[in-house]
Amino acid sequence: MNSIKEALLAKEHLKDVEITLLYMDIRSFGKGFEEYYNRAKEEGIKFVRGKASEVRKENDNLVIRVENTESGQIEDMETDLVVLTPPLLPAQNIGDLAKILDLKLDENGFFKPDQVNVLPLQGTKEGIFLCGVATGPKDIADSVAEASGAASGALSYVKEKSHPSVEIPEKGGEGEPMIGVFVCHCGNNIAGVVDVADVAEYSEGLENVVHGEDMLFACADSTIDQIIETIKEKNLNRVIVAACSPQTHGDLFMDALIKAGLNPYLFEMANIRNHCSWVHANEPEKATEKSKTLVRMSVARTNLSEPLIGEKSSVTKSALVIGGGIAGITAALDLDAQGIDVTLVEKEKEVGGRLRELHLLSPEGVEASKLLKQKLGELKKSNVKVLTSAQVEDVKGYVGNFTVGTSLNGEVVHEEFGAIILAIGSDLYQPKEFGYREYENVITNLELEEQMNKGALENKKVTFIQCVGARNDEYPGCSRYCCETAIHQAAQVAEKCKVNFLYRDVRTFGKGAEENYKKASEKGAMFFRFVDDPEFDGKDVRVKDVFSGMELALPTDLLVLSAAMRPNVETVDKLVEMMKVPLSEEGFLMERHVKLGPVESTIAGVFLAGCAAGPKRIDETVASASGAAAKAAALLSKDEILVSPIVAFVKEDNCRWCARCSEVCPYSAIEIVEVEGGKVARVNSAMCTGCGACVVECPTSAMIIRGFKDEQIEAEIDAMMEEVA
Amino acid sequence: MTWEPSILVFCCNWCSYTGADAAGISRYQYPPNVQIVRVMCSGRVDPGFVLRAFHKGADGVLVTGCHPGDCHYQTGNVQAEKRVEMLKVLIDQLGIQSDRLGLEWISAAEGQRFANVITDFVSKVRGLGPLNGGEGL
Ligand SMILES: Cc1cc2nc3c(=O)[nH]c(=O)nc-3n(C[C@H](O)[C@H](O)[C@H](O)COP(=O)(O)OP(=O)(O)OC[C@H]3O[C@@H](n4cnc5c(N)ncnc54)[C@H](O)[C@@H]3O)c2cc1C
Ligand code: SF4
Ligand code: SF4
Ligand code: FES
Repeated sequence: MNSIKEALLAKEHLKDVEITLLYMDIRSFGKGFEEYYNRAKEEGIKFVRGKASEVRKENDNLVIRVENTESGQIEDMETDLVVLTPPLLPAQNIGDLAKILDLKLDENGFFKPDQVNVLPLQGTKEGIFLCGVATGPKDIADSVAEASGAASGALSYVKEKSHPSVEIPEKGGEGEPMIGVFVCHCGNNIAGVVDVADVAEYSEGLENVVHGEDMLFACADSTIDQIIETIKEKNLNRVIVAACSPQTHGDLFMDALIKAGLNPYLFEMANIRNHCSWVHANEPEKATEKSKTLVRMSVARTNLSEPLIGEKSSVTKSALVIGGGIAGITAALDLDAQGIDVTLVEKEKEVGGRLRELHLLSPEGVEASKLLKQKLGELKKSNVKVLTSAQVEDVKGYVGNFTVGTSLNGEVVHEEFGAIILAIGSDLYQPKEFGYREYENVITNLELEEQMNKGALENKKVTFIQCVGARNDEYPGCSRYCCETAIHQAAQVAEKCKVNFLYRDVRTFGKGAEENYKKASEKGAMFFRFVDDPEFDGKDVRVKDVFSGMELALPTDLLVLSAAMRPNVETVDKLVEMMKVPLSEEGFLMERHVKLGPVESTIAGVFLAGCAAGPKRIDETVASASGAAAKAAALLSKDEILVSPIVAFVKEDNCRWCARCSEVCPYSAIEIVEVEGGKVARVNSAMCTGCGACVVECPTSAMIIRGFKDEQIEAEIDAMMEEVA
Repeated sequence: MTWEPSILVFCCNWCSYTGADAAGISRYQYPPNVQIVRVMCSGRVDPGFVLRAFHKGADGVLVTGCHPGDCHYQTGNVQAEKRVEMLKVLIDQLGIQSDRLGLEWISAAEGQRFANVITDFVSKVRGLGPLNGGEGL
């Protein structure tokens, strides 16, 4: 995956470069990765499935000898540059650390989890938790989710928790504005396109800017310290960082202002990366001009900004977990272990979710029913309030103070919660292809689990087809769980049956999965790679095997289709309606940030666990559930939180109570009050969400919205249309 | 120098601004003629802002927000739609071609769509030529 990214970036930087990527399997299984792979192909990057056996120098060129495993040919490829992608290895001193901590390593030399499926983050010694690449190769998103999960594990052992409260400076920004502008290179991300030094210099000529500077990585710890120092040294009372998105990095810099003694709302970001260098990569001059304009607009707006402080709001110290699969159960148990009141709502008669339907679990063959029993035992011993045959009907309120209506036995009960974890799982694709539901010998991988639960298959010719309903035009994403589980199934079935396994790429990336792949082969399972979809007539599967180039007819008594995970549409639709949770392009719940906030939703106080946010294996599900629990626990450990100060307020002198604002307010946040001289509108800031609908409606400009005042937006518009001096 | 249109794009904080971020993350390219102003919701876009932009010489204004039903504040985009329709009639009366004002829904995940929408709008406005002569407030 990283190689695909580098290839695409190289292509962007060097227009005419020809890039060939040699690979064994394309394992673009992460969220959005498959789409990225498809784009790389469109951009003209050549993918050759093959092994390089040697690189030699001929004249001034490098020549790679490649065994093309698709055509079976040995080819020589001439190239100017060879980029090697070495595997991730365990850290050098991991053995020493393992000895000191009394932890076991696995056969590849990474830390060994206690139980791969259910305790993926617990080391082989109680009380020691593992996360990230310490247990095996993985990407940033998974590492971050695991890190939160490991923190949750560790916290369950910590009895006394105290929260150093941060005082937010109420003041700042008095007197003449003294603005500092910090322009970020973001390594090469911005500086590779935009002349950042020029932008910084330009900013110094703008109104009230007293300091302009470019920096390599504005968000690096040492740079943040430097920004804080500069604020103090130069008496800056307003700060602009021209870098990436306020959505992902705004909080970080606002914290820096707080540390420097400034109110955080005197900060502004100019998004010269996501909205400029990244999207105008081929027009460096125009991108530099545009960056200047973005900075000019920010300066105009910042000249008018003022310190804001949100009202304090109490936190209801309890959590609601929606969905009682392994994700919901894990999150609930984690929160319970930290002494938090938890309610778990499951719509079915029993909790357990998908686990109730499975047989032996990949990778180690743990019995699903045993695992479930263990978890149900833990639930029973805990203080978790479990509601089954229950559904959430309405959600009101905001972070720290949600009011949730749950229907139970035909009655809706309302209760308060401080945080909500969504663990609603996923659905499975119902195949329309390969004669499913037409021939009775075609089943899904889930139905195979059912059959195996009843007893082992014997003397049958079993064919597996992978990626059914995934990685196609309608649904480009990889389903992630199915290669490993199907190979694990194939290894079991191959004990007493003849197995053929048809796949597009083998994506056995999880712990122990590659080993199962080997096991299945040793037991006699035959693996065939296809590009064009196979066909089935009820008796034979016809497929063109990519390696031999031969058209095969595989006699088949039982055809098993690995069905893709799909969003749980029914519940997802309801959540969108009730809570406005945003969805990914494929319809799963969307995370705040794929890498930086994989277990948080974009709504404060709402967290995501398990397959609700996209396909996952059980260990990944458990890790994300613990991660979500950790985030929720951190929120609930506070007595008070500050609500956003971006709310409306009424300049009472201008208001003549025409009620137009209260008619458009979707939150009924505006009430009528009697003052001397008549009636006026007043905003309840705890209920106001800052949408600004009322401001636009008010005919007398009495309604103002803090942080997004008319004058600020007008100043931005004016600044945009000014010529660059 | 050949003329290039200047276009103002309003993005709401919850959907289209994040969609614009997503376009960046996936490196979808679009013309640099647009400047984004972030507001919390498309319903915050005051008709006065749009008129001001044209008055200052913007060649086009595009209001973007969440898809119907997805507005973070429930009905902000419904308000926005009403106002844009009203504004189109108004600017037409003022002698500004109503096509210079656009409204599009873009979700937080639709980076590709964001780039396409911008590319299309820029070429549409480019086709209309500079805001001048008969037009203007
Ligand atoms: C055929 C198959 C085989 C698999 N084999 C393996 C394997 O061998 N190894 C492995 O690691 N992984 C395997 N997996 C993946 C594994 O099943 C998932 O990772 C895991 O079960 C996901 O757990 P979850 O809690 O996120 O979702 P689920 O288990 O789907 O649980 C979601 C729960 O939420 C409930 N719910 C939904 N909507 C609502 C609502 N509105 N209100 C209340 N409750 C609601 C549902 O009823 C359900 O109980 C397999 C998956 C399949 C399909
Ligand atoms: S719309 Fe304006 S004038 Fe009318 S009640 Fe609301 S604040 Fe007062
Ligand atoms: S800003 Fe929105 S939520 Fe707040 S009072 Fe105005 S209309 Fe209501
Ligand atoms: S929040 Fe996006 S349109 Fe209202």
